[in-house]
Amino acid sequence: MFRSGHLKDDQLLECYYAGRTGEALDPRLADHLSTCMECNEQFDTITTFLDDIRTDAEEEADALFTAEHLRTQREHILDRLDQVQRPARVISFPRRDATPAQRSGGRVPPRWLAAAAAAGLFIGVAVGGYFGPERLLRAPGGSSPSRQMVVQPRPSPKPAVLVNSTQPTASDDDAFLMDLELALARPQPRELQAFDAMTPHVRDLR
Amino acid sequence: MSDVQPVRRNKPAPDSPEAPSTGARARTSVPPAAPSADTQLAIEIRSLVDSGAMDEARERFGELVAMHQRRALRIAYQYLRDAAEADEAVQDAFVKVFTHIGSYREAWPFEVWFTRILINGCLDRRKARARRDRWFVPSSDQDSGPETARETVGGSAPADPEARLLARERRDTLAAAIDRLDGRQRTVFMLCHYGDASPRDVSAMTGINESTVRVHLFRAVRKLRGFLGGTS
Ligand SMILES: [Zn+2]
Repeated sequence: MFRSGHLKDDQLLECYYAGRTGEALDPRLADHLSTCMECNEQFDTITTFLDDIRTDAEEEADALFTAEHLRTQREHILDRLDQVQRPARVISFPRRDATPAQRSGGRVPPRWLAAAAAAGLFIGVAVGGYFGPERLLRAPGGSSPSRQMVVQPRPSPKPAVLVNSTQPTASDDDAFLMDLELALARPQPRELQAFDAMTPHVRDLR
Repeated sequence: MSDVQPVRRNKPAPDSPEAPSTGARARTSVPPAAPSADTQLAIEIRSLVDSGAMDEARERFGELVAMHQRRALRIAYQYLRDAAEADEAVQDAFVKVFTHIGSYREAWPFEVWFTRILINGCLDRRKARARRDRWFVPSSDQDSGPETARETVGGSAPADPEARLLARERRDTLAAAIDRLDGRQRTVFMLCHYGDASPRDVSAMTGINESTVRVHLFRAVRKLRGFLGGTS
């Protein structure tokens, strides 16, 4: 929106966020805002809108995550750190100095093992042909465990109701992640390279 | 362990008052003179881990968690709109921070580093969820409304059912509006608005140029005002 002689909405937003984060504000903007009634009213409208959004969101989150929950979460985090710190159990590898005879002739798989594997493969193919992916996804009712596995890869997620309000979010996020990675791959000033090196990338966090 | 008050972050040195504020201010990479309390604590924990004093490091880490926990949960919840998943995402981020503390460098505020790890985790979760939803065909009995879909973790709600309903409607509308933003606008808005990060912080967190961050932020707010009727 362009308002001749007055601050534009983006400049008013600049003022709002500078005020929130303590960033220095362009003195010209500050001067105008302090003297112009019209811009002041506009600024108040924006401030009220954004403050309401924030307050509402904070209240919602704080009602979900109570002080008790924060305490419990901290305990869980520290418990998990204990697990991380605990030295891993060492599983001994086969000795490297084993003789060739020991390595190759120690255990020959019995013939029945090959026969069982072949039978398993045959049954798998046959059952797969009968219950194709279409059937597994759309089968009404029933509680076969294999159907549960296919339909619900994750044990107990509840569908997040608000995310499915618009479909393009996944691709948006994909695009964002892609850009993020591209931005990180670009040549950067030395100090940023150091920062980047110590930061796990999106791809590392999978 | 008692609740520790959130720290005021060490802001990068502010621009000089003479600097033009055209939305494309030069990006200074000079870190602040004195590290903030959380950054100092992170450095201390790193030293403790280096010297093998793991119990003490773990204890001190609890304090660091307390400093950032609430803010982290607000961001993760706004991102994921699912209390249980937000809780997991925050836990994972803190565990990752501790296990990677050796690679933390104080050239940047701890908060920037931590938040970057957190949002990466949240983005991964959203991606995983989208992948899951692609295969998941909800049956009618699973098609629950917001009441059951949004898990609470021992939360409280307004006692008055009508007020509760209104509040939920308002929040659902806002969440749907935020969801309609494109990925970058959403992330920038979340971090600036719910994470109290400056555009410069967000630039460091996401790798997006600072002036581009401002553009995304302003577009996001403009769109939200349009969606929610807050426009003049
Ligand atoms: Zn004016």
